[in-house]
Amino acid sequence: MSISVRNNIHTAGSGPTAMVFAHGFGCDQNMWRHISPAFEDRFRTILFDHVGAGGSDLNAYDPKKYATLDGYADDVFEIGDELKLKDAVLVGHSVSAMIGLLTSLKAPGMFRSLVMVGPSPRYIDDEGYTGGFAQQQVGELLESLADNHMGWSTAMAPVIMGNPDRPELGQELTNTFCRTDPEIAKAFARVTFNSDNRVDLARVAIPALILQCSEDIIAPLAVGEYMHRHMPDSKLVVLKATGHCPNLSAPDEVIAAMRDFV
Amino acid sequence: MTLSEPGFIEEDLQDLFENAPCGYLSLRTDGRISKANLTFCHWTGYEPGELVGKKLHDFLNIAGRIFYETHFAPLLRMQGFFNEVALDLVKKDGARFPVLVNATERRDAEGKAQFIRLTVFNATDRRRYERELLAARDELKALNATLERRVAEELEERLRSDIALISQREEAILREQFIAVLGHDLRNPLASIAAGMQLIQKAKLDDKTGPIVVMMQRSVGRMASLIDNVLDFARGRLGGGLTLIRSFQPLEPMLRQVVDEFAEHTPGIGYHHRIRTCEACPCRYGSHRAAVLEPTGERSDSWRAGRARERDGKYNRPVRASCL
Repeated sequence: MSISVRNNIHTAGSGPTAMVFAHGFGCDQNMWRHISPAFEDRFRTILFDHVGAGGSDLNAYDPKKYATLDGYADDVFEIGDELKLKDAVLVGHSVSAMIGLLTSLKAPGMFRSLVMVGPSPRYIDDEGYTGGFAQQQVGELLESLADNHMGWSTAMAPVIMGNPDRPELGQELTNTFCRTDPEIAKAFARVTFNSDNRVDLARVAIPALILQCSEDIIAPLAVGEYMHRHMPDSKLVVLKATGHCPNLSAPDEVIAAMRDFV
Repeated sequence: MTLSEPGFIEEDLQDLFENAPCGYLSLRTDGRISKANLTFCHWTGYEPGELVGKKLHDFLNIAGRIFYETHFAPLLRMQGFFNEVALDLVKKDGARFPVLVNATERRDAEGKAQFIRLTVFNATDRRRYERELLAARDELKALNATLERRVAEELEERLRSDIALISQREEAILREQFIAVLGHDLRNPLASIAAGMQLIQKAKLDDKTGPIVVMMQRSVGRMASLIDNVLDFARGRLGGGLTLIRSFQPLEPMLRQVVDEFAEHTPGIGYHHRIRTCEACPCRYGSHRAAVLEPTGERSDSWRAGRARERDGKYNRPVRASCL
């Protein structure tokens, strides 16, 4: 199984520097459809799906490996290694901002800077720390994941995962961008919302751009400010965009902030 | 009924919107409610005026909010709609109201979102049914796991007893090999005793010693045949098998020897015996003798049971000689 198939890697654009886009919890690399094309003139863009999401190889999903963000970071490292990346830019959305951060610590020299869209080092409130969620709320989230299958049917899964572009599937393809095996979605939510990487922030030596939305219930402003305070070489930009996905709702604003930074 | 018939009431579109059998919501692109119908108000327990300006998030539990942000909002942006999304509305009184939501994004000519339309369906029964299905699946999973565990335990237990059996068998083989070796090695010292007895017999013996030597020689002979029997036994167990020759032979001399030996061991006790001959293999007399000795010896059950009779101050032991 090649890494390219495992992670459904797509590359485009050209340029001396590579820009890797990592999607967060919920959907797949389609999250970057309005962002990555804007950088294809100057960068080699690399998009991929985390194992368990989108068009990745579901057979490669190992519950043990992906029970920590480190397992996901290992995959990103392998992607970078496979593509021989050096001094690349890593753009991560949501939990993948932290996965990207962990990857950069694993592989000095692979990335020269980080772009973090709606990042959070810890979602659950702690003493002297506002994450935005109470422990019990995260429990409630994990419990209710069983209710949402997003049209998931095990019988359809291999077809969709194996052939994301097959037009004859027509209507059946509804919701595929965010269609995930409920068990995998639950495991990913568990590792995401229980993660705590606050101690890793200060270890980052490369420049980082933190893109913070104005009204984001998943990563509130206090979290973005905390990140900025604890990352030595970071820049915080508070976007006018609301919600957790400015890469979809306000792509122009995101692109402008990224251009300034890179 | 047609439009021209009297009594026809034309469907009022405003009424259709307000009292439709589903909830309607219109959201601005920032997620705030710009319009809600009466059905939605009734379901959530709010007055019509209270809803405008609120965010959809205000009617969702924490899981719904996270899901909306991470799944449904992106989906709506990417494909322009979403269908059959399961959400729990939180009513004004805090109670839950399970719904299924469909949504479309109204876009302008350039594809920019203008507003979002949502239809909300009561899914109380469906959600209950789905949860029952999930509970049944989990129960099945648990039962399956129990079954698998029990099969694994059973298998392990079986394996353990198999191993024990194999080691017992190995031990038994070793024991029989030991018996075979021991029996074989006993022959040499016995042969030298037999040779010694023959030399002694040639010497002049008085009346008292002579019969003792004869007696001892017979015992050596019996011991040799006992060893043969032990070897036969071991050979039989180890797979070599026994060779039997069927013929008529007098059993009496052999049995008399056994009784004599007994009498020698326990002087002062008289033995009454009755001997019948029967068909036997002459080279396996030892086996019969063993059988004769066994029920009559000290360890005999009949002896312990007190069947023996005391007669004239002497024990009368019953001796049973039987063919095997």
